[in-house]
Amino acid sequence: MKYIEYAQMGAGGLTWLIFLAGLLWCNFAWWRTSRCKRSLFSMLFATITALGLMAMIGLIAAIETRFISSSTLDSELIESLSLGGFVMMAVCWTLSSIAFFLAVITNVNRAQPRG
Amino acid sequence: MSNQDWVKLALYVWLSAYVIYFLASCILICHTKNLGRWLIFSGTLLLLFVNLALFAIEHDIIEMAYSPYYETADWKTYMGDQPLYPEWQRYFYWISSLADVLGKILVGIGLIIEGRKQMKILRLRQMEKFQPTTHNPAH
Repeated sequence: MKYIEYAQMGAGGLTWLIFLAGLLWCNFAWWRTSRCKRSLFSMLFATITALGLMAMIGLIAAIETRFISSSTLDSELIESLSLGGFVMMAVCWTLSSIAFFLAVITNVNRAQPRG
Repeated sequence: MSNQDWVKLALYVWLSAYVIYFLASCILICHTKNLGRWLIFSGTLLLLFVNLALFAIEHDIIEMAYSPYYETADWKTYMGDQPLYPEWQRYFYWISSLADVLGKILVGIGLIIEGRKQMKILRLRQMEKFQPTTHNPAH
């Protein structure tokens, strides 16, 4: 790979880390501040995001390092693996956004930061 | 369902996540306006625009990549000397990926600020629990 590709991957990974760190931290804070611990959506969100992140890292590592294609697997299996990874990432990402939405609507009236 | 349908479905699902994040940020900003929430709102709006544009391009690419002409000798007779992707698309990807990075950083920082504010509220509540206030007639 060229250096520019490493730079792109590094920058992309770093921004994903900032984004996910913000999401996890904010949801942890909401979960702590909610008086009655009804909003389990926050923790559900964290779990789903972690699952999605793991799928993403696995998929990127498998495809970018050509680990799958260098093995003895046939091309159809490679295609279905990458397709399955892409679909799984999309599903995890959307489920986490739904959990985030639910966490917002269950917490927004409880804790009100001002200023 | 064919592979093409699965990829298209995943694209739709992927895009819907950005729509849901944007809706959640709208609720946050409508309720209370502060720096963290403005950052979350502007970041999710930017991410929604970028991913809408990417969705349109990727949808077309999937149509082309799964066509029976692609990766066969028929591609030249089908498309002539025209490449699979136009030249401007390279710059489009650079600009859109930079905008995507900017959006994610904005949302990430906004969420960290929001979390810090929430934890501050938690500390205040715990202090109030152990400190009698003048408004309480019992003290």
